[in-house]
Amino acid sequence: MTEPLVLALLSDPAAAKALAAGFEEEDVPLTVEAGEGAPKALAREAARRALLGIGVGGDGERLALVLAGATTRPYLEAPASEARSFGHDAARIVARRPLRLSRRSRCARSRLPPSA
Amino acid sequence: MLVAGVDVGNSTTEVAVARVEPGGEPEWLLVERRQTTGPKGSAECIHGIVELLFRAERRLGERPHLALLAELHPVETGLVEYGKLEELSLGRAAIARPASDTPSGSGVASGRLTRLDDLRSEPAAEDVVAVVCGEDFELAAGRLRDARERGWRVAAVIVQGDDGVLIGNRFDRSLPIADEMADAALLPIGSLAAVEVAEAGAAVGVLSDPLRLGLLLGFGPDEARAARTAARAVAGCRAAIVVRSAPSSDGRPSTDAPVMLVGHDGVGTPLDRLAEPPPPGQVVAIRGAAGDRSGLLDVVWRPLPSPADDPAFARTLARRRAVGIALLAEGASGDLVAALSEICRGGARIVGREPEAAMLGASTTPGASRTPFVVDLGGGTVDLHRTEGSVSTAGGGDLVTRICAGLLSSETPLAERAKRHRSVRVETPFTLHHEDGSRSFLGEPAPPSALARLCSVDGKALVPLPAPLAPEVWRGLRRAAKREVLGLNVKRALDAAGGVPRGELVLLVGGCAADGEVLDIVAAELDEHDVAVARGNVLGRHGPRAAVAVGLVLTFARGGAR
Repeated sequence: MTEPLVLALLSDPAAAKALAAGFEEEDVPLTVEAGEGAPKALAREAARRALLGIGVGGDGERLALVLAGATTRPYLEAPASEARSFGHDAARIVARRPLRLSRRSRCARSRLPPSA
Repeated sequence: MLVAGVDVGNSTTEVAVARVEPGGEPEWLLVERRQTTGPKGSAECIHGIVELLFRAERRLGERPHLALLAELHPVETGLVEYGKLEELSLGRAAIARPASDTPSGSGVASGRLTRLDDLRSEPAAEDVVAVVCGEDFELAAGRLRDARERGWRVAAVIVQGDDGVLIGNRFDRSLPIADEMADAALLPIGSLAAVEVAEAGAAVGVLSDPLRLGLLLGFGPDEARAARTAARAVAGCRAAIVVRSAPSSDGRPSTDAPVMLVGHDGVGTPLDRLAEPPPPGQVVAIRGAAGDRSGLLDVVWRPLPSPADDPAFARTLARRRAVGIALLAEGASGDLVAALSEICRGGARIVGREPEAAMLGASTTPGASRTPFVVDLGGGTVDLHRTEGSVSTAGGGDLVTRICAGLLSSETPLAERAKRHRSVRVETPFTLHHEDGSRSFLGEPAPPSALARLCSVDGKALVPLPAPLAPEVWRGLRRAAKREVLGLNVKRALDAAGGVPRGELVLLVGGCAADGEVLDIVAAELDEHDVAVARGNVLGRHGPRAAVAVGLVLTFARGGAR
């Protein structure tokens, strides 16, 4: 079986439709599967399995996106109620387009990492 | 006696504090600076000066007894967009809007604007462009499918939200659907509209062609100008809409000369955006879109520089036809002297003119004791000072910032940072694309807010900039803005002063001289004069800054007070 390009593992399916709609609008393929665990752990597992190294994890409360190259903390987080705009931004990370970033999204500070 | 030399610039206020005893050299105690509060020379400047004097008092345990000032000439900078003025004066015979970069379908279609709700009634006998405002994408797609089955000829769709692809996938993938049209609810329902979506990576070709657009929407010969303006507004976009609307009654006729320059003889001539500004002193007043001002000493205007290596952005700029304008006016420092007299026990005095003060201050640069030529690259002006007198030209760092803001479509503070620092494009969370075309890789991911954006690198901070430019292109534009304003004014000032003898030393001072890129550009501009260009280092430790503030104290110490 071919591994997915981008994978979302969700322990609660409530956010799946809105998340997928965000990806679809951005024309980025997404595979959604059921999983068990906390959003960050699910996202880490999804990033490990996804061919593009970008994984989404979520439960009924929160969504998290993890990059396979930096798994210690999520690259992007948002409440599950904002699954649609989170989906847009997650897809834009894949497609390398500027993010929209809703006010309730949490992401790393705008600092250049020490190695830059 | 503790005295403070106070230099109020258009962007920065600097204070140099020294203890001065009769017959002795000043004992320099500190130099402080901050952003100027209010227009140069106005009463609002006092707030910034007072803050610096209080700062000095806290550090020295004593408030300066006397404040020393120079005569002040304020500069105003602005940006006039001829394209926008023309659009406004057309009375809005057409509404033209670029759409998002993720539309659905491709091709061009036109029809009457019809609300989604109205498609539930009996079908019309002509093509329609459906307008989807707040409806969910599933519901919208369902209604569109239903309307088509009942005989509605839906030729295209305009969507308020970011739902174009979702609706297209559920309705008709081939139909042009433009989305993220924020003011969709305000479009004039019943009017004729055209929607075009180009293939990915391409730009609209019909709506950007005034003749084809005119035919599509039935613009008559008397509306050719509306078609031209609409076509210009959407050129270079992947998706766009144009709506033909009734011209408003307050539509004023367009004028080709929104800015008039008035000479000594009182005769006004239209500002030619692409012409070179006249030598300082020839324009005494300005009228029109840049404001009405008299008592001018100099006027400088520069069109936004255009990138040869980014044709799409060059076209956007050409459409705007924007020009940055700087006006140097005669000013009065009386209010400031009166206000400062209440702060310093010994009062405040005007001890000289900026040129003499700048030369004295610059002469404290180690190794440059008798510099005959000093160029002060300030926020508002570029001044050439020499023993025989000086020349002031309108337009310095602030005009460069204004032009950068115009290029980036950003606010001024962001443009100020973008002007001073190198840029990168964050290509992926782990890759940076630099201005020289090289790439570097990151051990930790760059922040999401910076991803896929041009960013200014301010120390360790990545500051996202709104323009979708490659770093190489932005570097070229940023340098061009500095060359166009500072390089031009250095040359204008030199020409007005009769040139510089070969082999002479030209010392650069002022806030802009702290920018290595500016030094490079000015030195290149002066290459043909065969002169040595060096950067000032006031008192051997303050770099090119504070020359005037230090010079004012020296003027006072050497008995130059008036």
